Amino acid sequence: MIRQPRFKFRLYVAGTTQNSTRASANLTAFCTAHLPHRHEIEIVDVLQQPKRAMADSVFMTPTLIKLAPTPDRRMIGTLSHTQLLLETLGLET
Amino acid sequence: MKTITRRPPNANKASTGIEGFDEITNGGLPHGRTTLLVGQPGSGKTIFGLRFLVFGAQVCREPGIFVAFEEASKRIVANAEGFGWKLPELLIKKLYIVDAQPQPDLVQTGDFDLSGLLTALEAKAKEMGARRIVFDAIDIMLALLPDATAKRREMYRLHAWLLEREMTAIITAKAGGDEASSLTEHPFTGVTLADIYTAGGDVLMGTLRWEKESAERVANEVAEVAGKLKRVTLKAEEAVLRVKAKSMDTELLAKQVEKTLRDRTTQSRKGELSRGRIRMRELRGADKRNPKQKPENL
Repeated sequence: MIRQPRFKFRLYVAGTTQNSTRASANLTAFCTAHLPHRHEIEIVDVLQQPKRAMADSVFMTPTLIKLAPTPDRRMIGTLSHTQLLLETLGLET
Repeated sequence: MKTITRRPPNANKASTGIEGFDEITNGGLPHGRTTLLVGQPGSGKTIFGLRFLVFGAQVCREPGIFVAFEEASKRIVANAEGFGWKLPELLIKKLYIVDAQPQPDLVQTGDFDLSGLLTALEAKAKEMGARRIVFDAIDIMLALLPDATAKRREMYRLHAWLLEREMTAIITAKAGGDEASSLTEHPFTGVTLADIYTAGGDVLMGTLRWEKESAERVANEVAEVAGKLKRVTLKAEEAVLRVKAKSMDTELLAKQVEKTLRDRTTQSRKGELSRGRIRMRELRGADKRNPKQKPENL
């Protein structure tokens, strides 16, 4: 069996706003369904760490950055389109 | 020389530093309010916004933030240099450019908002005491939002944020398209320079070019005067050196005279000494035995 790559995500949210809450729920559900036991999610709240958002050029919330496997990819929004997520992450079969 | 009389600054207005514009608007843009600037590509929206910030930072003690949705900060700095504005000097404390261009491969899946941008700006504005802000090409960001409701909501959020902080703001957008029309519908507190501005774009660029040329003229005059001054200084230095050379000549002459005098004195002293020695020998000759004799009494 081919060893499958591990996915590393960083999700920037803005407190508990509707868009942000939806995005983290959607991401968790997506990872459980399509990347079981091979994903890591770091959630950064821009309200708590505004300088980190500036340093990472994150201006729209929610923003998802895929850090691994390379290359980096960015997605903005509530991550509600599963099909688009699969395509963007190259997980289409 | 002609003196320019400036009218006293109006407390309700934020001066742009563009003389013609400040005159027709009775002192500049509404202070603490948001002004929408809509125009065709190349009509000078970015330069207008930048000029407003540069003048604020240099003259009005009002630091500013430039949020660039379209052009990269490097290009903005290079363009400003074309107008003779020295941005790198200001960039340390009084002017901050945010590179907010969306990545070309950015994927949008569902709704989003500007909370991230506003929180980041809040921190930066506090840190540098920013009073002016420009959102350049907001249409680029609005185009990413999924629907008209979301666009209106985000414009409302941005405007409310600006009003609460009493920032004097300019929001620029390209004329035509859904984004511009959704913007012109929004009741901004400042003024909307849309159709009037499109016609005025050339006038503005003309004014800025004139300002740049006159600045160059002044710089040339200053350089010329400096050149003249340098020539005068050099002449003065030359004169001083000449005087020095003359006094050195005189000194040399004096030294030469002194030397000959000394030579002569030495000569005459030598003569005196040899005469003295001869005299001594003569005297010694009289009691020649004495030095060889040992005293017997001791």
